[in-house]
Amino acid sequence: MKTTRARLLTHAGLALASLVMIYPVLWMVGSAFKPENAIFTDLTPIPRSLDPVNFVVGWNALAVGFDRFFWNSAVIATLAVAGNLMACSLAGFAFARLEFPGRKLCFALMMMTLMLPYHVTLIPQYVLFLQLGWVDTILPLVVPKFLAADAFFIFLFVQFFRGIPRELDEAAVMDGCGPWRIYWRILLPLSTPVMGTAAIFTFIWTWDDFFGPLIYLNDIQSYTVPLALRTFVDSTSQSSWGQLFAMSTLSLVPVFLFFVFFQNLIIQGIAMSGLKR
Amino acid sequence: MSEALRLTGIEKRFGTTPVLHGIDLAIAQGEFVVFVGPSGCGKSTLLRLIAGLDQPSAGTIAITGKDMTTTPAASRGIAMVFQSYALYPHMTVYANMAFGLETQRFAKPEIDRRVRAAAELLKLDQLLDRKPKALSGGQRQRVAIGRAIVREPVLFLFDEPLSNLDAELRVQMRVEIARLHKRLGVTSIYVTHDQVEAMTMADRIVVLNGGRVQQVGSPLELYNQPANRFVAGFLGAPRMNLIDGERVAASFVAGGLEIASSPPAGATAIGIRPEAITLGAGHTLPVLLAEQLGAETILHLALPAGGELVATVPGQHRFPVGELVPISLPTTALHWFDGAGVAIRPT
Ligand SMILES: Nc1ncnc2c1ncn2[C@@H]1O[C@H](COP(=O)(O)OP(=O)(O)OP(=O)(O)O)[C@@H](O)[C@H]1O
Ligand SMILES: [Mg+2]
Repeated sequence: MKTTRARLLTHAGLALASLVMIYPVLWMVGSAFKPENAIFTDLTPIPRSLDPVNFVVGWNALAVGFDRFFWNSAVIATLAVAGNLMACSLAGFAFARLEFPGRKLCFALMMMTLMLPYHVTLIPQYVLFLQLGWVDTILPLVVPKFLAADAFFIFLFVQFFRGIPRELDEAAVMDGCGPWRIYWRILLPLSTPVMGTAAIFTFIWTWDDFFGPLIYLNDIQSYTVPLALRTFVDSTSQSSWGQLFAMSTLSLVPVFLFFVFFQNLIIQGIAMSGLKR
Repeated sequence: MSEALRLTGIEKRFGTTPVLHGIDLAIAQGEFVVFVGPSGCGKSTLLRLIAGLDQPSAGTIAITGKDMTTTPAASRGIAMVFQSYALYPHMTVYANMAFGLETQRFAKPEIDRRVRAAAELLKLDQLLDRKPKALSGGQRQRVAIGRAIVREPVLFLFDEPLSNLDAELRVQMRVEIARLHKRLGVTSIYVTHDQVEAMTMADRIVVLNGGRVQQVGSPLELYNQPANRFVAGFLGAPRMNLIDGERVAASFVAGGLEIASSPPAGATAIGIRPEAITLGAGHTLPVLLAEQLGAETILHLALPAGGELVATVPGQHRFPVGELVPISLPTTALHWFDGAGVAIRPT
């Protein structure tokens, strides 16, 4: 049994650590409301006034409005989430439940792709998409998601499906279900926790992705939010830091909302299915 | 009576490990057949082959006279109740029961009629909107049975359906399943390793051991005329006394006791049920332990040649340990076994 004093100290330490972690974010949000000259002189995250001028000006500061960038990002992220959920759950189902020749080998190969660094496949991939004529479209960012290219999520689904008792599948077989119907009516409805997890991570990773869009998207009309933010830094004078922070703050909102929404789904999923593990 | 199921030469191997070695069995329409046997003897495996969840390595399965060895599970007209119930956790009781019919594209009104009829039969009417996790063990069991009933199968399969219930509920569900069988008259195969369930529920019992059928017969046939030492020892509680012995001069001596005067040829062991042994005149043996059950007393007695003899005697007797008790082993109650463990029947 710890003393109250020791517990207070622990909590104070943890609170301090949290503050250090979150300070840059708070500072960014605060700076979005500050006049340009106060940003680098005043290090408190709390602004003097809540002046939205940076947001208003920043929204249309570039050649193309931010509505366009948000739309582009949303399209890519939504398609990526849909693709990953569909393709990775199907691939996971195949590995977890179906018998086919070479299953173990395929699974091992897939797991090995987890160990390949991004940079190794980057150039060959670029050449491939170039030959397909897909560069300067969103296809290279979206189509692979529909082909279950994310081994990590496949693995997540495989592990989850393996935890669902096989007797459920067998009961469904007795009820006349083939593999498709077992997947769609039995396993998927029981998989909301893992679907929520996969959705959150896919969304965050795609929304935040800078490198992919940088390589494949050249036209400012098709820029995503992170690319647009970069444009702030190199195309305009140093007087637009406030606008950069304002737009960066806005770019966090969808991620935050998405997380809150799907986190609820995860918890609901666990409670609803009654599956304990 | 026509035939509901016929198994011919069923064998099953997992990889190179043989699990079932040539099972032949015929089950008549409307029968309640119980498969019993020790853990790992292949009961579930056999049931899964009949259900179509697995394919036999050899042999054929005919259901209502038609060869269905390779027919998919759902087309065999069979329903199965799983040990873990295997209810779909995300569906209501109603949806659980309706799911199979929906899959087979029955019309909505027909589905509704069947589900409600089954729910009424199983007293589930009030629970149709609940999810399985909000049900008690017994209720879940009834939903699992309901899911089987609505399909109006020609054959019910139960794989140890009561083993997850507590003792009291088990007795209650046992009676309910038996009553349901009387009422619906559907041929049923019931797997258990509880011999009380086997004895009380079965029209016929199939005793399995090591992937082979040991004996098939009515409960009392198996009890009264076990075909071999395994069946003799497996059914009945306390177990039958099985004592090796040999012929000495004209009589048979087992465990140091002179048992009988004219043993059948080839006998190398005798068996006698504890409840067939009576108090009084014959042999006197020292008590090792006396277990008082109230209505009866179970005596563990030491045999002169080592080992023990168990006798169940009616009433309450207080025998201190070591006391010599006179008992007799009626020759009419003796079972004889040969060197291979096969029963020798009086001719
Ligand atoms: N899929 C499988 N792969 C390999 N061996 C298996 C498989 N299924 C069952 N076996 C083996 O087959 C044998 C019989 O198993 P089975 O489940 O039929 O026994 P059982 O009689 O139902 O036992 P219990 O009373 O414990 O349920 C066991 O030795 C088991 O290890
Ligand atoms: Mg079993």
